[in-house]
Amino acid sequence: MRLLELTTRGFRNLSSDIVSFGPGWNLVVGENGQGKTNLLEAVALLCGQRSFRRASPSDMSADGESFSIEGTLRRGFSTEDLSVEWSSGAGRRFCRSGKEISFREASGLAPAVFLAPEHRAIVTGPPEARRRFLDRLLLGYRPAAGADLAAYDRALKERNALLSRIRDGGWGRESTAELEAWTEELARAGDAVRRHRREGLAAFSAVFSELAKPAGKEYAEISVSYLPGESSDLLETLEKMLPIERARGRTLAGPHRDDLLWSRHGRPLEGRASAGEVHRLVALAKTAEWRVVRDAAGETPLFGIDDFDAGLSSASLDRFFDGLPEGTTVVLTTASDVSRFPAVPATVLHMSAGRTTSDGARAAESHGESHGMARI
Amino acid sequence: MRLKGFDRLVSEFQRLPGIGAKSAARLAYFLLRAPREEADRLSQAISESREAVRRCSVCNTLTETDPCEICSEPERDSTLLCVVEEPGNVAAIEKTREFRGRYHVLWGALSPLKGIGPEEIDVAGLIRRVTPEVREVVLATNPNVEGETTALYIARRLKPTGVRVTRIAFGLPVGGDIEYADEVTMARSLENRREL
Repeated sequence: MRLLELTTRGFRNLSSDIVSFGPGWNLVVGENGQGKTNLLEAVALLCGQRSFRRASPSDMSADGESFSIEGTLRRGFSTEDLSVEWSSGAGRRFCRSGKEISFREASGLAPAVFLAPEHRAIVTGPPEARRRFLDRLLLGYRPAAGADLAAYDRALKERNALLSRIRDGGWGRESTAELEAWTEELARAGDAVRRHRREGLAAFSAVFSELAKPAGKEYAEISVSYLPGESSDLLETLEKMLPIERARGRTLAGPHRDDLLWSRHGRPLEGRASAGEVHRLVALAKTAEWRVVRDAAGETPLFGIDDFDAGLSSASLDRFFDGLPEGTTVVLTTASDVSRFPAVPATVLHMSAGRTTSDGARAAESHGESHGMARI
Repeated sequence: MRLKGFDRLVSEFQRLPGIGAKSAARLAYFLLRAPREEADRLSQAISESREAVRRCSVCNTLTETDPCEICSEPERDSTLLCVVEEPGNVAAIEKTREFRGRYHVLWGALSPLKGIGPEEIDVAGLIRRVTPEVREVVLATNPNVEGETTALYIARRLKPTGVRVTRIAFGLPVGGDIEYADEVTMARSLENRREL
């Protein structure tokens, strides 16, 4: 999938000028605070994703009320117009060539993977960050899982509302059968979510192992598993926890409390991996996600990396560029001077005060030959 | 300049399902610009339909005669009862001409988030109607979280009666092409596959 153009209106500090992306790698360069990450964030939103900075739509809107992002994509031989609008009254709305589509359809139409400094949380952050990572991968790997994720979320909210009413003294004659019905529905949706997550994680683990081997022994020995294990029965767990849940007024077990465990030789990685190792591990994980989505979607996902060269030595930079995918739009942001990457065949976009100017493509003739896909 | 009457009309329209502030204002402008008789006709239609249309005392659907036409048909199969959320669902099933049993309209689905519990929908009336004569109850609530849970709840409540409880199937639309089915529908069709 290639992103050809992008226009934003009322989005952060970005101007409403058309941004034209080159075929392949695009380096977005500029000083800090000019809008490089904002541009990458706009691309993520257009691709049906949430902000990787966890920003709310009103935070991303220049006036707090609304914004719109429009883009032109090329998929195979066809060109598609995709847009997302947000307003405080109507929420998010996606359109394909003027016709409204769901966010899931937008995600399917514009598969994309993003890597930002915030993604360190996949290893070092709270369980929520790891669940979010896995669920995002699932939407690319198996779009039908999105309906089960949404159903679980809805059933959880409904059941929590009932538990909260019961805690506050609203235990009526009909409450037992009502709570049992909600518990059964939640367990059904939860089992489906856990099944999708375990299968998605198995696909991810296979690719991750393959990518980790050449990265060195310390990475090849890392594995990731889903918690709780296969033997856990959600309906049984929920039934056991019911007395505590009734007292607390919320659901205390299920996929919304599950986690991923990164480990090396069976010992949890958290607290044992150096900052450099975490950095590399997250990059490998995101690259594996990109490959899983590519293989499942049959369409090469866009790859966006924020602040891509932070903390990378010159030697690591060469290895980094060798590992980047071809045949898709790759957007890389950096605060470094463009002279740091003299031989990189990329379109250079200079970002200043929310406005982008292009140098055009550099060394485009060598692009696509020297940087093999085999590495990613 | 505030137009109190106009604001009131807009706010009344906004209370209707699917009508936001902009649509409400557009409807209000339309009615105020149209000839007076047009507005009077609408107001009369609302008022008369409120008088003439009521809930059937047997099945709860909307009707001008009580019991409704379906409940009054003697040739209907009284051993078969189909449970739906809204009166509109009865019309949708009737169009198929496949179902010859009777109906029960719940007027909603369970949703603690919206404050809808079993007492807010007519489950009690349904249980009263499941007499030993009834052979099967078909649960045709919507295929979403609230509709599924309502079906599970009713099935639990009907268990002591020993009546056969079934759920309508979900899957591919007839006449469609598998190639163009969305992934969710396709996955549900595989889940609900049947043996031949």
